[in-house]
Amino acid sequence: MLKINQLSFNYQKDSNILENISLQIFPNSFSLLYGPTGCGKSTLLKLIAGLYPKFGGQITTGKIQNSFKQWGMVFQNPDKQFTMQTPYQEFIFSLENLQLDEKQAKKRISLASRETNTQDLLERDFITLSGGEKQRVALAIIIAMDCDLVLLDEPFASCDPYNRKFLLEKLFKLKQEGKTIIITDHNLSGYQEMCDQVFLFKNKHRIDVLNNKAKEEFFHQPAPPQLSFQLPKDSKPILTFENFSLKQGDKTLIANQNLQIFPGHGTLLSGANGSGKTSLFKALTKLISYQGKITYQQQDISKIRRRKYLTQVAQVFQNASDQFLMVTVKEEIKLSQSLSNRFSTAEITNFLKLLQLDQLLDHVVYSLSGGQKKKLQLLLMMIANPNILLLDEPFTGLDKQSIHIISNLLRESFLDQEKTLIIISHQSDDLDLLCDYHLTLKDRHLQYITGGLLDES
Amino acid sequence: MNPSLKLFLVLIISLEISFKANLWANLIIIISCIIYLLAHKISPKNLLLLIAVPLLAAIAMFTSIYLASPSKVIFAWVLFTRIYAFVFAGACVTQTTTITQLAYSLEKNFKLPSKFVYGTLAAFNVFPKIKEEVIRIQVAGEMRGLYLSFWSPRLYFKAILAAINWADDLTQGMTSHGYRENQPRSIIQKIPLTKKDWLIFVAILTIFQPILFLT
Repeated sequence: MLKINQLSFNYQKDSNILENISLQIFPNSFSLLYGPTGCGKSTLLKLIAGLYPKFGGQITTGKIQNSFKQWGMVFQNPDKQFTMQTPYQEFIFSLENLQLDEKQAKKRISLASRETNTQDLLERDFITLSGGEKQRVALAIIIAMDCDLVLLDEPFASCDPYNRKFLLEKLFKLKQEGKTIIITDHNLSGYQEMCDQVFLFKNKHRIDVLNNKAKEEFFHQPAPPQLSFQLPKDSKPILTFENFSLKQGDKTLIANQNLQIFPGHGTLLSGANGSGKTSLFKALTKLISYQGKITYQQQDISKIRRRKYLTQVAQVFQNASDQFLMVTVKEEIKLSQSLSNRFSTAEITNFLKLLQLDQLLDHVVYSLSGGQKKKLQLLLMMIANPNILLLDEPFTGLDKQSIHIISNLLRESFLDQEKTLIIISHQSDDLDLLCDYHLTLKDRHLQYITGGLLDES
Repeated sequence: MNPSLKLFLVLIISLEISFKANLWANLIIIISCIIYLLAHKISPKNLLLLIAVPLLAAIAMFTSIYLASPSKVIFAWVLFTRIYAFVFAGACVTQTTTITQLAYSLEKNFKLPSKFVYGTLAAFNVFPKIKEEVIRIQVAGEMRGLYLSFWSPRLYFKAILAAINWADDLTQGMTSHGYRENQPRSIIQKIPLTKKDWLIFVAILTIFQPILFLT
């Protein structure tokens, strides 16, 4: 049983993230926390886990009573989850912490890795795993630890539809085995049947528990439109790939590819977890080597200086913190402004307000919520104003409204200016607003298709 | 041989040769270490690096002593070989055990506090990440039109910020996987510490003493 009573919490004095919040979670229940970006969902999960206030912030009123014995947590960013070098070592570390003996541990590892289909990943270095693969390992460890309380903070953000469905089924099974599950997610699909309680974050004072009727209405949202795309008919490409091959270790990700990307359009890039989408972006930004040739405006990119090239072809990283160079939000904006005069100060102030970042100017960038970081990151790259912008999961941690605002901004400042976007996303909202074309990466080959995201799973 | 014992052996011998100048002892260490490394199939490239990298320091050491007092040419050779003795003895540990094995062994065989062991290990696992991070910061800068050279303070300022952030993330990650400070842990991955290991350890030290002090 978990009881939260009149709880208030803040990171900085006088600006509470949560205020007088009360809620109860019963054993063997499945709870979904839902609410806009930055409303305190992740904070609440970490409070339940006891990571806060131990690692930051303070509880100003109220308390949490937690009678679960063992909890385990899957973080929003899988890179923050692991201490060891390989999944196998991480298993051993976790199970030694629980004081298991060798026989029990081996049994649990083999069961959990089979359950989550991670047997082949056990001896791989974490650095070589894709985001979705890491999340499968994260869940495998939680299963092996046999925690009675499982906390998940947007665990599927970097998962393809197949992995998402796979992991959700595993969670449901855990619940049937008697575990208690608390999860945050912006994507509601798949939850209706298994979810016992929905906690709707209205604002920092108010979290509503939905009754059965409200729950039904809540889940009964129109199905996402089945997207359809055109096949490119343009004649002049901005990027071309000639006999392009890409490898990761000894695994071939893309083989002998010839392809053209066209300017002035958004292109959606989809493919299963681990298929090589992020690696393709790394090749395009000259971070990893490849075979064959990539040209940008008819010029071989290996012959252009990286410094010069990257001002033309830039990227919004999957991990938002990678984009930041300064300490506070204000400093980041100031730095960007000093390097580019694409927008006037008045325009930027307006963007900040639109993205609800205007109250956060003095905050340290690392202390922003996952979604707020994403918004700031996108704004910074809009100011930088490259000719081609690569976006790797730009909508992670964002609520529907924020996604809509950002999509509009991206359309106005890139596509309407004849600039080019290439977007990796597993989120289907608003992609039709941004993308005309759809490239999928399947069986080591990239191909333009007309169907939407759901067709691939 | 058990990783920790190997480390202790190398530490003791290195300490001894740094106090007692003995050319023969140094040469015997170098030769035995090379044989040990070859037996463990060290790559020729690594072996060459082990010889090439300290060469400059060794020559500098030799010439400075030799030029200062040409009569002490033997002493100059002692210092020259001592550097190589350190390097090869160290290589016997680093080239044949991973940091993970060593850390496990120190925790499990010699009861080093787990907090220290996993803290160090986590820090080691962060190394490749730091390297990646520095390049990533440079790239992030270039994408916004800011060029950060390798000696730019801003590059390192941000790298340090990122590292501080990691330290916090690491502890949270460890906690989320059941780690609690000062709580007992079980041993799943055993690192054997056998009688044979102890025997070899004592034998090598015993044989080495007369070589060092009597030759």
